[in-house]
Amino acid sequence: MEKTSKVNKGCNPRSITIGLLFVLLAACTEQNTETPSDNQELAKKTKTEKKITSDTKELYQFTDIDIQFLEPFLISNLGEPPKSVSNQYSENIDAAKLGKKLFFDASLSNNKQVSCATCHQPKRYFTDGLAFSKATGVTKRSSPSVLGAAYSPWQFWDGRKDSLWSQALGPIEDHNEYNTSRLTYVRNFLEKYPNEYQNVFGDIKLDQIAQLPKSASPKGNSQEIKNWENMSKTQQDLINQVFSHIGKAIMAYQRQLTIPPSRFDHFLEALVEKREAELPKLLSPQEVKGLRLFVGKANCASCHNGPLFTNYEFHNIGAPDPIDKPVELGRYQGVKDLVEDEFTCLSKWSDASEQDCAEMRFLKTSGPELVGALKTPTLRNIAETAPYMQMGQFENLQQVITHYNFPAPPVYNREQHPNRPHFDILPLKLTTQEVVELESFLHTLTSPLPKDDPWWGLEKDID
Amino acid sequence: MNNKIKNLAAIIITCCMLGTQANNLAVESTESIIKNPIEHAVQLMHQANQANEDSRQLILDANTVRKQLKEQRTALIRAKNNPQINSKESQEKIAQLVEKLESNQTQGANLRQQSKLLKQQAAEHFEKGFVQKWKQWVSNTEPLTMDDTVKNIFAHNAQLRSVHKNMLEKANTPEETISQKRDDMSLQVPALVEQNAPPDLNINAFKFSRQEQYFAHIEVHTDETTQSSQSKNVAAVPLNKIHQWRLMISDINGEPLENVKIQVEGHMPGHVHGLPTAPEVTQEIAPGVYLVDGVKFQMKGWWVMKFILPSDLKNKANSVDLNPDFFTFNLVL
Ligand code: HEC
Ligand code: HEC
Repeated sequence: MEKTSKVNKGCNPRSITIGLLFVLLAACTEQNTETPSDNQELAKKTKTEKKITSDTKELYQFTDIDIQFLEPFLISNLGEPPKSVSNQYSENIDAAKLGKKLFFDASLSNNKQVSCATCHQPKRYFTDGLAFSKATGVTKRSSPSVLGAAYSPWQFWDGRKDSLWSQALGPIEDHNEYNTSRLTYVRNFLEKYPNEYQNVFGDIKLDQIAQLPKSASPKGNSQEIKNWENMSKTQQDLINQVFSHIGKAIMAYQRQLTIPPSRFDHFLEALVEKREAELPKLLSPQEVKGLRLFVGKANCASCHNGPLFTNYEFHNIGAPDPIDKPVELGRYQGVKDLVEDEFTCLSKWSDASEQDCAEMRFLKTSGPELVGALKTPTLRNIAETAPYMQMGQFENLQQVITHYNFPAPPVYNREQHPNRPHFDILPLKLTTQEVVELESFLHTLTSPLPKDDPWWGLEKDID
Repeated sequence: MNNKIKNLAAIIITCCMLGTQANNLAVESTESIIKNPIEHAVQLMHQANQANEDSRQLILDANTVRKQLKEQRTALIRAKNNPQINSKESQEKIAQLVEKLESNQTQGANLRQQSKLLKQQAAEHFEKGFVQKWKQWVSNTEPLTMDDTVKNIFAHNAQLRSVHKNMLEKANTPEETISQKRDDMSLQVPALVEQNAPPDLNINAFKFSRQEQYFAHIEVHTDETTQSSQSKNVAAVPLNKIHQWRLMISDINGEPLENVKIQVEGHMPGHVHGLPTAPEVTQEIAPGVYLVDGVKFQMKGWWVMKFILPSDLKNKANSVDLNPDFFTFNLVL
């Protein structure tokens, strides 16, 4: 009995050794020659151990069909990000190198302190640990990891951007983030990176930009908007051209980011390669129980599936709206923003023909299921990226699982919701023990920080 | 008019009227003499509709009989309480009515069944004629499936749309939808959605419209540019990828239905959600052959695709019908 609880304590080196011990024990209990002080005691003990051993053994036994079912979760099955039709520079390494500089360059922001990495910090798996991100102001939502974002057809929680390049242009003009005007950023950028720009994108018409006002943007304050409107169409196009190129470089960078295998992947690899003896060393019995719950009774895998643990679809799981904020309209608002967006696949700044922008051409713009629906996030490195949900409504994984276990449906606000929000989950009725097991499984999805991978930009963090 | 067929149908209908278990094999055996399957299908459809109408009439009659029976029974009770009245006559009448009622019910049910079978046969013959006539465009006559190489066997089990807190208690939990434990799996994976499709679901890629005035066929459209990336299996739709279909529509005489605006809808029964995209008919690539673009399925399972015809198309009475005619195709991917 005592051994069971030890085994269930989780995955620390001790429990792994205990797991191993059982494997050995199974083979040698018969020959156990230790002189017993109390024969009966020993008999009882051996019996319990035998039982645990066979239970544990069963836990680690997966059939071929099980393995076939689990294999698509392997990170090594991720492959290259889907081809980008709207960004012809998406695979250009020089563009990616420039993009990396821009991702970490705070000098181009208004207060010279904000870069993408402010809110997407490599050592925090490209998140910031906050419920609402902070830069020059406070953002409306929590910053998700950018790892794996290159695989998603839509960006942001509500999918209001249809590419990474278009997404990257958002923070630059957002007054809570970079707080710069489009023209200011473009000018400062060209002054700082003229060679890098020319190398990838060709000629710069710096002289023409020099004549323009200090700041201008169709999205800024009233003065900036006025300045923008006073510019000629050619001048506006010139700025937009460079601006979209900047996005394309940042996108090329993010496409280079890879996720190293986690303990879960090592376990699955061993399963696939039939190295059964190694399994108990790789995941503890508790974690394996959690894995079985994740794809089974807890039903998480119905949305969180594939190598990134996401289907990239929009769902409403009813994370409670903070009372002091407007209701979460989710995808309903996201598609509205997409239709209005200046930099979509269908725009002048895209490298795709209209024909190739199928996702935008056949964009679903209505349907009750859009209301309050958010993009399923990746669960890779989830234990390291608290708080959780689009506004950090949950501080830890236990709270998340408790929500899934006994969810309250979204509250219908007749003034703000166009219709009663959709609701996509059912109560799970997991036991307390099962909640613990499920949580311990989520911890196995943490990858080691790849200190030697230059794209991750962890150089500065190694001291 | 083919007299032989007419006679045969007459025989079938009389068989039904007699209440025997009429068999439809008689119709199938005429296959060798069918020259024009579309025309034949139309005749079968007429017969089916006639049988249906007859069945309806019988059921209506049965209702009248039921009313009479009730009256007689009340009369009988009254008679029993009053020795002056002879109850024999009443009893006889009741026996007669019961017999009539039973016979009406059996005949009605048989006719309805017969009508269903005739409709099925009509669809089969129409399909045959359609395939002959539209050879150039029909490359697949099988129901659509999803490519076997698709490993992803997940589907989310969203069965709720709008719920009140109290209702949640009544919803079954995923655990209850866990499939019967499979021998070959130790994982207790929740029931896959395709299992929700009823076993006798019509998943044919050829269908009459709801009002039976048009006939349509769907298949995956591949042209040279997309062929390489598509599966070699012509019946297979890809997972999570925008692709195109051909929708071919003929009128009841087998002539292409040209130049109409068609609306596309789709959903997953039992999932309360629609398609992930908004597909459209973008082009009529040949008379009656419409290109449906933007089709995407994000999961395996039972899908319903609906193609709605304009509401101002002429219906059989040549009058404008405000309920538009439409086609529904079931797919179990
Ligand atoms: C002030 C903090 C902040 C800064 C600076 C910032 N972001 Fe973000 N980022 C966020 C927040 C918050 C979200 C989610 C917003 C939403 O969905 O509404 C987000 C979302 C994203 C996403 C979408 C990921 C997904 O899975 O949907 C990407 C990609 C991204 N940011 C990249 C960048 C890049 C590139 C930069 C620099 C140009 C940048 N961010 C600058 C806070 C920030
Ligand atoms: C119906 C699809 C669906 C199912 C089933 C589902 N999730 Fe989620 N999950 C989502 C969506 C959508 C979000 C984002 C919701 C939000 O921000 O409000 C999310 C968010 C999360 C987050 C927070 C991620 C982050 O970066 O903030 C965690 C952790 C999580 N889910 C774990 C689970 C677990 C564990 C299960 C099984 C018990 C599960 N999910 C089942 C769709 C689903």
